[in-house]
Amino acid sequence: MSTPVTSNPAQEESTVDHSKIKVSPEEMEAYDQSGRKPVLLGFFIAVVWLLIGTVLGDLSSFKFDRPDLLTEQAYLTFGRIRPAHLNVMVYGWASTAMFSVSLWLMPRLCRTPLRWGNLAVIGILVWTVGLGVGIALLLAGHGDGLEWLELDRQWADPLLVIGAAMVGASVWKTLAARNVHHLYVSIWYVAASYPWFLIIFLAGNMPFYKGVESAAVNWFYAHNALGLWLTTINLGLIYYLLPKIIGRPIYSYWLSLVGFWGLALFYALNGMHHLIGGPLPSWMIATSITASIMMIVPVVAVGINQHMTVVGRFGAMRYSPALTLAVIAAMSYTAVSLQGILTALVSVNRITHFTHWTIAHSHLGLYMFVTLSLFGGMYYILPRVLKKEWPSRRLVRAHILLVGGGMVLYIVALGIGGVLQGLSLLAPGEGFEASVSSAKPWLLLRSVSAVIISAGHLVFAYHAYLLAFTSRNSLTRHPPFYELKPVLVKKRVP
Amino acid sequence: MFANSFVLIVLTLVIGLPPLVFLFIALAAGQLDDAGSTAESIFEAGELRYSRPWETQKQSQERVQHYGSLVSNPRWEWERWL
Ligand code: HEM
Ligand code: HEM
Repeated sequence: MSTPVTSNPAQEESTVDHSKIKVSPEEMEAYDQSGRKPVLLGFFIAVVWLLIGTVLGDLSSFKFDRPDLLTEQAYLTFGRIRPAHLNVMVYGWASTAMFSVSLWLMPRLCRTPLRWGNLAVIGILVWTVGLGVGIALLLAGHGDGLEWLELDRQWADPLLVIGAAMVGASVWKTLAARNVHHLYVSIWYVAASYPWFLIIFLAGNMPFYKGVESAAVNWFYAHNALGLWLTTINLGLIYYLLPKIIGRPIYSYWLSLVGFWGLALFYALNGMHHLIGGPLPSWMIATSITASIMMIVPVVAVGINQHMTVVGRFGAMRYSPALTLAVIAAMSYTAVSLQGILTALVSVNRITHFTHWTIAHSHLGLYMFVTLSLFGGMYYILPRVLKKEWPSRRLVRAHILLVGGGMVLYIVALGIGGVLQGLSLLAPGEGFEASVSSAKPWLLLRSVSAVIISAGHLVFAYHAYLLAFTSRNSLTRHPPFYELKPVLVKKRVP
Repeated sequence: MFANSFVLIVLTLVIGLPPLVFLFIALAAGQLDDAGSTAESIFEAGELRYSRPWETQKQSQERVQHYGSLVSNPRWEWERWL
């Protein structure tokens, strides 16, 4: 689902010129400023949700080590805190930050000021109110009971749909008003994500599915929410940031198109791999496993392309936090997808399903790929929109080391713990308790990592506060390369 | 009852088929014709000519060959960080 291409001759003429004439830095600055309000609002709300989601994630993690922790009040029990964590992180943190990323990228790529910016502001607010209502209801015990679709379908979901549609309208209006003929690959990813998200979210929330079919539609939704919403906007962002910061065009523009169209054409078939072993017709599972294996094509296309763009220039990461995070995110995309393909094989899934391995996979995807990509985006975008530099490179360094290191520990611990747990669950001679004991030390490690990551989030939020609300170390001029600085090393590289 | 989930098949087609149509529209409109300049369209004027401190001599030479002589970044702020 991408752009209807215009046949308007006037536009074609002006666009031919534009692809030859380079945009001036001043013009770029004007595009950045055109979306200032919604972009800043979205990032602000996203960081607030990130902090709330962190508390919920920490609590969920600690409860694995101390099951009696905070069980007196119903709203503090695992069954409510855990889905609240998922929804706050996915719809509050990631999606709201992705709104801002889209609203910042589109004017730059379409070479036109953001259209309907105020509608986008209202959209972000409506979305946030919807999510707030949904989370409050969820904690009070009212949810739809389907994973990823827990938010109340009567009071919360309609607001989410309206909010996303308003932001999407602004994105598409900007696209329609574009001054370029050829669409850069990031536009394909970002613009397509909005109709995709609206269709799957509406379809997933319909109240009339029964029994097994409800589970099937549930995972149709959740998987596409991952692949056609969370993944796509972040890939769009990475496809922009990598070449931009490195200073050379993407290695092969053709491969980037193969990646996009491969995903667009085949991703929808993947969802049923979440239900391997479930009471579904075997052809559906088999189709989905086959499609999962076929995902190797777009995944490898994206991986090779991004790697070849940066290869030989990894030293640039020392200068740029945005690039550092974008590169780790890009590598994690390849890693999580390959892990996912492995997990979709029946022989592997038999061991890993119902274990912490899946949680390791989730966070490799949603943290090391999605969240780090969004952090990278914020390091790049915020100074340009605020016209101020991040005040402290020490805080940048602390943030990246804490969240990166913490999450590696999280994923490795649960990866190992999950396999041990799965093998123990399958061992005929062992009781269920043995599987619990085998996972316990790894869960404790996860809680340690949770504390480390949370510290990283606090550092980031504090630094963003310093940047946005104080004038400490602020620079009022607008350098072209805010990122050109060795944040991760102190000395000049030879 | 569930041997064929009509709903799921329709949903999958609703998501999977339109991209095929759009791919053909994009092809017909020449969207995929000019990969080189599309890939370069994200750069600002002069951006590809800035010398970059992390590049090797060979990489800088390649940059000169492709985009013309190097210019130093006209702004001063970022150098404080080196
Ligand atoms: C401070 C960092 C985080 C911690 C400590 C944390 C912790 C947890 C815990 C304990 C669970 C429940 C696992 C289970 O039920 O066995 C969980 C699930 C989940 N978290 Fe996080 N999380 C963090 C960050 C994030 C972020 C940033 C995102 C998304 C952007 C996220 C998305 C999810 C999702 C989608 C699930 C459900 C996974 C599944 O069902 O497979 N988490 N997390
Ligand atoms: C080709 C790519 C991928 C394949 C084949 C794949 C495969 C899978 C499979 C088979 C499962 C189910 C595991 C189980 O329940 O036993 C799963 C779960 C999951 N995957 Fe992936 N994955 C891929 C990419 C990704 C990406 C890019 C992300 C994140 C952006 C991601 C995030 C998740 C999450 C969050 C879950 C847990 C869902 C839940 O139970 O709540 N995956 N994946």
